[in-house]
Amino acid sequence: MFQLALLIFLIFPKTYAETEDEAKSHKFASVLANMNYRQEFKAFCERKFEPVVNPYQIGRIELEGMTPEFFFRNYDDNGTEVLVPGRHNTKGAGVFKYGHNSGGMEVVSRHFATDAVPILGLHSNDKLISFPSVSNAVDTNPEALGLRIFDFSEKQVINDPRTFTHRIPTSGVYQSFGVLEKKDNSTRIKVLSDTMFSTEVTDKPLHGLSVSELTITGAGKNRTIVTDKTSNICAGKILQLPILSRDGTKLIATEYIEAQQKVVTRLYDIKNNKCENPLSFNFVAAKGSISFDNRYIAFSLPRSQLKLDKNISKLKPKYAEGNLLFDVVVVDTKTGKSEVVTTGDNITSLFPSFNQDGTLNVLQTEFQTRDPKSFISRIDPKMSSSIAKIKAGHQSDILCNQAPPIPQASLSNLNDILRESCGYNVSHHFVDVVFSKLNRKECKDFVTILKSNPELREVLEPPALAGKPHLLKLFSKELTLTTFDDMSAACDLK
Amino acid sequence: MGILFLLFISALISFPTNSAASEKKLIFFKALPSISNKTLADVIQTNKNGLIYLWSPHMPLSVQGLKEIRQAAKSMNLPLLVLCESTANFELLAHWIENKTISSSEIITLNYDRLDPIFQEKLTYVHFPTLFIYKKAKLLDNGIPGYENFPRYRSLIESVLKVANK
Repeated sequence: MFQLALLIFLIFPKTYAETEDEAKSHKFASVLANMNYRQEFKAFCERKFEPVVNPYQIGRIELEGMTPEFFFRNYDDNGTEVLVPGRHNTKGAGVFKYGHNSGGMEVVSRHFATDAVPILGLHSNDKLISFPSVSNAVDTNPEALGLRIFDFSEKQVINDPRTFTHRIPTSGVYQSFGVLEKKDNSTRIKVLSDTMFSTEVTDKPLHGLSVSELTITGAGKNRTIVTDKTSNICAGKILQLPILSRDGTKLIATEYIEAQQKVVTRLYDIKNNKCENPLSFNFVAAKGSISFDNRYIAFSLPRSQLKLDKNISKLKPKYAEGNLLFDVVVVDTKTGKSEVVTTGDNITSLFPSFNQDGTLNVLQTEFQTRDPKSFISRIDPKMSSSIAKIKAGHQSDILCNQAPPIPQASLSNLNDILRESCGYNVSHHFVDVVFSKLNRKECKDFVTILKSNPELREVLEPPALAGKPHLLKLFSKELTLTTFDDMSAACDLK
Repeated sequence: MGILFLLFISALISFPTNSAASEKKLIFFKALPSISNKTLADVIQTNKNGLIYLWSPHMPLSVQGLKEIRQAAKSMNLPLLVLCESTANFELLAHWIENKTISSSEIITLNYDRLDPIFQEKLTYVHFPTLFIYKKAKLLDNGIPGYENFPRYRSLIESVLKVANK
């Protein structure tokens, strides 16, 4: 009997062996079965989606106990901890540290509460925080003027941060820092500060931006900070809200241009203490943030400013309790493309701050209740706008149709599921899921099957993709999927 | 028992007094006045040239800038309208009133809900403080964000009005 079967197989091999396509199809069906896709889609389709306040949001740090605040800064380069100067319900005024890692709130200082800015990019565990002298005391004591740097590396200094200070006498507020050089035991940083003396301090220069280069060596009690030099920069310009890039080579600020009688937000190269090559934006924005690679700039600004940017579709200005609410826009300086990365009509978003991985921390306050709450959102600005829109599309409590019963995962009924159950949104979700779960070869096989199956093409390509490139973030890269060839190429990234 | 009764009575007597005091403060802050569209239009039409200073009690420099802009306005003989952000924290406002940085009668908020779209747009800010300037009864585009001291405010205002005159 066995011999007969072997004979038939040898004579008519193609009749009994799987064709290549069938093999792929079975393989794909098996992958689908293994990934338990029926349950996955059923859950997806039956889920009653909670409103997605911000589809770009990938994390959140609660600021428990804080009254709604206006200011925060990242405490580390990863943005996992933040520093919030302000008022705590039970602790009073001070500077507080919040984050995922610390498991709650820590009091950093009760001595200062204004514009506390950590110097990022130092050696690990080194926490130097600068505080400008901005208070009424300055008026009566000009000697108190200056930017002071305190060492909070050791917990015991919390109650007495004055154990270590360094003062830059010519500096005021709006400080920011760029790390120029980092060696084993020393770091050279550039400090940008804005001197803005009150008229009562008459013996000081009036106003202006300056940079101080500091060398920081040692740690703990052996730490020293030396001001190498301080120079005025961008002379002759009326600049406000200045922020320095991390490498100290770029500056964003608003500039009043007298001839045009206009305020603009600009990005400059700093060369020989001059602000050169201004890149003007089509809006006026609050303090910005420059990404670590200097390519992206994030701003917070009201929507009435956004409409000035032709790259951004018109958004209606939003208000809460009679006040203007802000959104965050990220500009790619290489392509000129702008994208609004915050949503929600009752949320204001301030102080975008880039993290090392390209994500942003943003201070947000919700005005949906009479008791507004502030929190820090971690936002992924590289998330494709189409994915963000898909997420946002579920805000309206859409309850997808229940997926029909599926006897076994296969290509033939996959089409029905996609078409009949949840349609467009599921097909995109499907692409995301499949790409994330298949290995490179399976992924390529899957795309080949899609190409050869007209019905699946209809569901997964047009109308879902027709005329509208499907932007997909895969493997940390943003891809534009307009054709199956694009999808196939995407598989190679695995 | 008698002492407890007396304590109870004295508590009842003192309670209304404290309550009235806190109530008075509460009523004041609940009734923060905001500028109306008509008042704003009248101020601009009547004065023709002048300044609007938008501040927040949360921003120390915007508080400090109050005296600088007042000095600049006085020296240039320009009318100054000081407006506070509408979501200001009441405690902070009380603090600045108590230390006489600003009088309670000067607390007028900028409430966008009360303004028509043209004023809403013209009075868009990105920072506290922001200085808005009007010339020939017309609000100029782009408020100027950020703190300046008196000499700088003066030269800035002169510069804006000079260009606006052309």
